[in-house]
Amino acid sequence: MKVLLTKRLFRSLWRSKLRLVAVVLIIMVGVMSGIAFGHYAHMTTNMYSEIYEDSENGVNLADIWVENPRDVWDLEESENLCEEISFQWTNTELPLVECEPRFILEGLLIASEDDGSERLVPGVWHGIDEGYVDRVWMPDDSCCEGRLAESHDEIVLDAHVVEGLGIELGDTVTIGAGQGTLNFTIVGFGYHPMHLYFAVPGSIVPAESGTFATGYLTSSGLEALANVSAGTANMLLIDVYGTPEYDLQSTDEEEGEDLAVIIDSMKITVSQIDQSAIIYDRSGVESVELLRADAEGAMVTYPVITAMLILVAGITIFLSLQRLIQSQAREIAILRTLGIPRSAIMPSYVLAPIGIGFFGTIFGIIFGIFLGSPAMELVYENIMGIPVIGESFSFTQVLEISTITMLLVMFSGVRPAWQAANLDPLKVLRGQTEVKLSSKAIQQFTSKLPTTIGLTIRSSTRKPIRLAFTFFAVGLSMLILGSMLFMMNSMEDVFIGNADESSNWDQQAIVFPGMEVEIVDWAEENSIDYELLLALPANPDGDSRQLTAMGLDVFSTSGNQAMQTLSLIEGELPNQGNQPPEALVDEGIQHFLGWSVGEVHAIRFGSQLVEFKITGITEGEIARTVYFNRVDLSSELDLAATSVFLTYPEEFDRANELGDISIGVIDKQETIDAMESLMEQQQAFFIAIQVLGVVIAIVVLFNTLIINLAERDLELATLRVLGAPIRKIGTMMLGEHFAIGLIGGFLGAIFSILGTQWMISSLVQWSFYFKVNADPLISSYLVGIVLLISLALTPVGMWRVHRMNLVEKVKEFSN
Amino acid sequence: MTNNLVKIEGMKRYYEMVSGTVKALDGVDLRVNEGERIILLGPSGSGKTTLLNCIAALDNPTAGTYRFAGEDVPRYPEIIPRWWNPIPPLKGFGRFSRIAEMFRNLNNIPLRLLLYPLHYFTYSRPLARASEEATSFRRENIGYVFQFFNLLQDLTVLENILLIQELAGGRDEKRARELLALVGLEEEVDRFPTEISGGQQQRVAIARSLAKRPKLLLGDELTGNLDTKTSSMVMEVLVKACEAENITTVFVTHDESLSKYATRIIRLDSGVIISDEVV
Repeated sequence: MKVLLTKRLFRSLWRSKLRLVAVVLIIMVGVMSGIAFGHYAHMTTNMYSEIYEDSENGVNLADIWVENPRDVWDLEESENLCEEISFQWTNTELPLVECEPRFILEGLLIASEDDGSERLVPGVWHGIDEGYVDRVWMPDDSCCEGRLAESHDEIVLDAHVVEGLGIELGDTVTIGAGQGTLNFTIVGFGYHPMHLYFAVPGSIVPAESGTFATGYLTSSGLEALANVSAGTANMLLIDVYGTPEYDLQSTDEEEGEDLAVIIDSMKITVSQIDQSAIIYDRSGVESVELLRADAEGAMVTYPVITAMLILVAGITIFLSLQRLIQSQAREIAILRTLGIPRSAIMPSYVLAPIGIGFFGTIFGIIFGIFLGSPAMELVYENIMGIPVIGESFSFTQVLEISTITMLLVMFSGVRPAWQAANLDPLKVLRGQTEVKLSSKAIQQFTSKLPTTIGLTIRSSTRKPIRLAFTFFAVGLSMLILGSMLFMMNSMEDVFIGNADESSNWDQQAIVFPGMEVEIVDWAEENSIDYELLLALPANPDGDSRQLTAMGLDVFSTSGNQAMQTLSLIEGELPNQGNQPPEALVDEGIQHFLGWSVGEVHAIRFGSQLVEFKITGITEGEIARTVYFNRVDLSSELDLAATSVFLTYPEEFDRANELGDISIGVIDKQETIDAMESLMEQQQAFFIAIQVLGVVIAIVVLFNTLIINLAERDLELATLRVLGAPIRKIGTMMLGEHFAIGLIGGFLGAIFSILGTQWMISSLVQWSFYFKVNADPLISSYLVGIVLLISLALTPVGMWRVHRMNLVEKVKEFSN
Repeated sequence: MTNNLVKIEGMKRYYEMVSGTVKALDGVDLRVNEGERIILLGPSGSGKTTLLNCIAALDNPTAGTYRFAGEDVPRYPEIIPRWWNPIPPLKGFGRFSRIAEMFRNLNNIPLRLLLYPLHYFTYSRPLARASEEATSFRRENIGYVFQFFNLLQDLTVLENILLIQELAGGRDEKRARELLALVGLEEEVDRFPTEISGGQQQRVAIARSLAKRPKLLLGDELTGNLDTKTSSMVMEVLVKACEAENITTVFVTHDESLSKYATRIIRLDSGVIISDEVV
């Protein structure tokens, strides 16, 4: 009997194939997205661990970095430092394995253009030799070939730059590091753990291929390039036994307590030899931290996106089943009257969503594994420029997603099934359950309106729970679309807007301390406007997280007065020459540290503590920044500048002289181009997600409005028999759909704004702070889309009324 | 009393069913004069509801003529052109016939997309236009009372009548109240259908059907859902209202006892009129 009842139900469901297919599709998309995003999260997490590990194929990522940001150590100093560190090392559970001095320099690569001209490409050069820690990674992949540099005139270039520079093994490249240029023969292409996330130092935007280069030379090669003595270093790479935990910037817990103790003790040791040295763990290495944050973000996001989609599917199933039960109420009542027990009615209604969920899940798994996951790998390889390696497909994750989906889908059928089993046959057969009225308040509110309008409003609000569920589901689908639009818009504002509108410079020349004089002379000779900048890494006192302290010559919030304008959201610009010095902090610092205007705080440059008074808060910075007057910061640190902003006169021929006198050049236009190119690369992905949001909104609204109409067949048929013109009925429907679309649109927009802000607030971390602005244009766009979908369904309703067989309906009236 | 309001000649209504052709009406000739109160009697399947539906222009006769107040009543094509199903039904698939049918339907989709403009202009559009003409005909001439009243539950008694007036193009609250007084419900105007009895609901339905001053009032088993006492009360109200408004009426019923309210009784069987007597 149960089999027959289930068969009957499935046949009924099959009658509304379109809705059934739509629900299966939503579940499929939910499962597919979950698997694809989940795969991305697992793939990246596993891949980074594999790359970083100390094995034959890994690079043995350092655990602690000791950096000299202002100067270099000679051979004796660096050996001395390593010896002291080793001598003072007391932790026996995490013994010191290696302290490797390394020389890393920012510099330039001179690239030849097709027209024969030359272009300066900012770069970072590492002197590595064999290397025990932070080795060059050359996976068995088409990306990488060749060998490590063995002689002083050989170089391994980062595989990220191959395509952009159009270079091949055996080619010669000309690079510089502020002391003239040298030619090197390319002997290999590979990656480096500090540049897996390939961005110009200080920037968060992945560099477009060919606009930034990194190279891995022998120590002697780099020493020759920089014209320094053998054994010169500016970094100590500390390798601790195993892979100790370190404090994650995204959590409030202190995960790496043991490592923190080691770092604190090292700070005391190092400060006795060099006060300016800064010490940090993996969270202080931009590339490592950003990739970790990306993987962590994906881990946080994928269950949310999956749950959202499955929830929408669940709501659609719930509403459809409720409607089905309503339409089958008489049948169920007859079955109950004939003696069929409740227990026989209920299973089929529970089985229905399980069946639907099963097919959706199976299709979702197939598409997720064979389409979604490879697509995510492709997107990753495209944006990050790193080949995906290793077996990282997690069947446990597929099982988790499928199980959660099936549970959610099953849950959506429980209430309708319970309703079906508990229908009162007597009431149904008397027609009493058919009557569902709008609330008294609505009746009262509409009593003074024309009857047609009153009826429209009352009909729409007859089922407030269904309407609320619909709005919720529309809100969720709008969240998918809206979050993408809001994020893209805010990203564009922050990245491109900041670079374009706030920067009044054309190029930024990076210099060794003291070398700025040469740039200034050159600029003055060529009538080039310039402004000095002092930028150094620091960290809040008692906090290991890194920030950038910037010393600016001119502060301005608009116009062309300053080379770099700021967006002040609170307080005022700092005055020069006060004690403690005045400074601005970005709103990310305010968010994470709770620092406010008027307070005095301290930041640490190595072991040197600098106190300052906050006079204002700025917005728009992705990374944490404190802005000082350069003169103030300079007197505290005894350093003049680390780079020079340059604004060229029109028609000025940007010769390559900068290559000889600076250690790196950042070009504003190239930064903007890189961001635009990144946005372009992701366009297809973003559009796909937007389309998904719109399609789901269509399905949800379509489902509810069709159910609404189907429920009112009796009403509409009565009106038609009594002579109501289709035009008038159409106007009523249009009005109803307009109201639903408008309310749904507004709720969808609010949902999107709040949801996106919540999503972003759960993703932001110290190194990546981001705020979403509720752009009124996008909000109106979201309202417009829902309104349009809703209105577009009016012809469907009209068509339905047109097709209504009045003779059959009249027969129904008489039965 | 001698003007023909309805003039039907040789009306046939055949339905093509799987089991064969069903002749619901098989050559009916009927003239209804203004002011008459006709009751159609007959067993189930005799064709009386089909006749009523054809008179209301809800159904489309297969053959015959139908004139209302001297004018032809709009009719519309109901046979879907053959070419609309370019792939004929597939036979010989036995237990797989459902799959074959699904396959056929799927394959018909692209062909239908191609043929849609032709279908729209030669079938859909004329059908929609004719259907709308039939609706106008009902709006202007016909009142209809259903067995289950079919009042809109979300509207008050008064609003149910106002709605029909608004849809017909003229809201007239005074007349709506007069009609409710005529059927004895002046006290119940602000009540909802669920708050009044079945007999009262049917009286509201009668008032509603009179709201736009129809020439002909049709009723299909309008007392079928009421007890004897309430049925009599409703019929008395109806007769009174129709006389007051000078409306011709045709009712379908099983209940012989309602004959006393008629001026003419027509009996049908197997789609033909077997007796027609003036009371």
